[in-house]
Amino acid sequence: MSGRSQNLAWRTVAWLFLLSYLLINLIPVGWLIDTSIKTDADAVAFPPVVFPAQMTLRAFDLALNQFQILANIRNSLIITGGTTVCCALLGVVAAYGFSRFAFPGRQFLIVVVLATRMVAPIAMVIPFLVVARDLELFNSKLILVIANTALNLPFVIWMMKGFFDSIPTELDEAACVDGCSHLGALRRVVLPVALPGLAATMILVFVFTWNEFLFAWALTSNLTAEPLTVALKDFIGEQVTSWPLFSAAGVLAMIPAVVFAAIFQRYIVAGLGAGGVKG
Amino acid sequence: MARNRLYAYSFISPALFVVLAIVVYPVFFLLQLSVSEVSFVQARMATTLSGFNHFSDLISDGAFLNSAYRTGIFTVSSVFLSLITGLGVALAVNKVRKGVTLVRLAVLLPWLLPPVVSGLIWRWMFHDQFGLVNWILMNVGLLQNRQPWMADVATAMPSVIWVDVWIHIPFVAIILLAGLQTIPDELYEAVRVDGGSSLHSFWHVTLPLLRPYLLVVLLIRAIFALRVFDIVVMLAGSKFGSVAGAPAGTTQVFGLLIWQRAIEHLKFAESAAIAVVVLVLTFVVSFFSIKMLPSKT
Repeated sequence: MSGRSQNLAWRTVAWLFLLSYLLINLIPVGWLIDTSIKTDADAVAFPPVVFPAQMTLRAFDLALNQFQILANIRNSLIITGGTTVCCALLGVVAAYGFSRFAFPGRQFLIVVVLATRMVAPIAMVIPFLVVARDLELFNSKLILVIANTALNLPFVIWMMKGFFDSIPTELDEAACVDGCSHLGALRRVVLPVALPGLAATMILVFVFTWNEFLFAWALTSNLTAEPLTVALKDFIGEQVTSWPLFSAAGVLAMIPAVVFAAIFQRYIVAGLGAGGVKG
Repeated sequence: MARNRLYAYSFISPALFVVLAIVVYPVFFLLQLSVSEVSFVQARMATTLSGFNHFSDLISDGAFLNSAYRTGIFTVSSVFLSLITGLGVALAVNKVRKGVTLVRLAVLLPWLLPPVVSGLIWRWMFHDQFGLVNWILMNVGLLQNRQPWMADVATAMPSVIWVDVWIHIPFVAIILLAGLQTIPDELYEAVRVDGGSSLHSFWHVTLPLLRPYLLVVLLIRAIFALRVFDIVVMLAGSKFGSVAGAPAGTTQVFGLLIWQRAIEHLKFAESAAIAVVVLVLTFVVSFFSIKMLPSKT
């Protein structure tokens, strides 16, 4: 009986802790959304207006049209899409190679790939900037696709190698007995089995690239290539401070991540678990 | 067999080429820069080797020492706080029976947001005049006057740490949750049969079995805390786009100093030397964390 009441006490503590944590998680995000539909006057009222009497989408209109956020969103989509495709193609093939073949230098190369994940991007920015200028790729979407692919590829290889390792080799051997190439076995047999893992990995690459800021800021100078994250940073330097405008841009920037997370939450959790434990 | 090898190399070489060309080459370039003098001839950069003078200069460089101190405080506090709280969240979520999907999504949210957006949100939350944080704290009676969180040298760094912890608790919690779910119920059952308390089973079952997960999270969090950049720019960046780490350099972590030296002052070589220090620190942290991991994982 005392065991049960003790259990109940723990449960209550756990729930209270979790609830207050979730409030701290959600309130700031809710406040951003709330601010984005306020008038400028309501936004700077103190005490703050939680339920604005006058709701408006003016801030979104201003952000999209006058501040040309739409062009930034397009850049973000192209850079993120390009990176995700490159990572999928290069990463999956390499991971299959690492998972299925024994060859000299395999262990060493795996360590090299893993070690590159530990290189801080802030350390790569200077060399990247110099080389990008020399190759006349500065302020292009291409250089950001290249940079993001390189940043995420080790992660993709590591995750996918883990998923491929968990699939028995008999499966591709059976496929190859029927006369197909290694690439055919990968495409027709192994990949379909590893599809949830691939989905999780690619969603994370998408979110990481969409959120990337450092290289984007260092390697772009105007709307030709600037993604959304850089546009958000530029608001800090604006002469006129309009928090509804900033908030509207912030809301637009967080939509993809939140939508993806909502739809594929289960995959992300599974993928993070697998990737996290292994490295 | 030889045919197999050929296959293997043809599979891995495209990705390997990208990784080598785009990560390994820049690292060598960085190392070269850090021991060179850089001059600009008609907007093109020229380098000449000069030895380790940029590194020896760092020892008496006030800004660098300040940065090392700030980065140290930031890394230790952020990693420690996010690990403790993340463990708590993981333990609590592990007890949830209903609405698991929704709870997990709410837990995950801050980690999925672009850090730039999180920085923007909290810059707004911490606003001294209209911020929600001041309003809430004054209403509950914890604050008498409006606190200028990001302008006061005493509260600027704690505020940045708060935001970083807020962003990373989800990551810690989700990975530890995966670890918790690998612990078989029978072990807890055994403790209960022997009359052990919940605290007892936490100490003797949960923590030891969670050790590899805790170490991995510790490693990843430490590596990422050392390179923090975007949220500090968003929180402490000035109106003029400078990344001096306001107020008075109290938030100038390594990332900001590297950026300031290279992009704002165009001192590429001096900046590269600091970047090399960050790389070395990262590898030292990784080395010791991996040493502590049991070999089977």
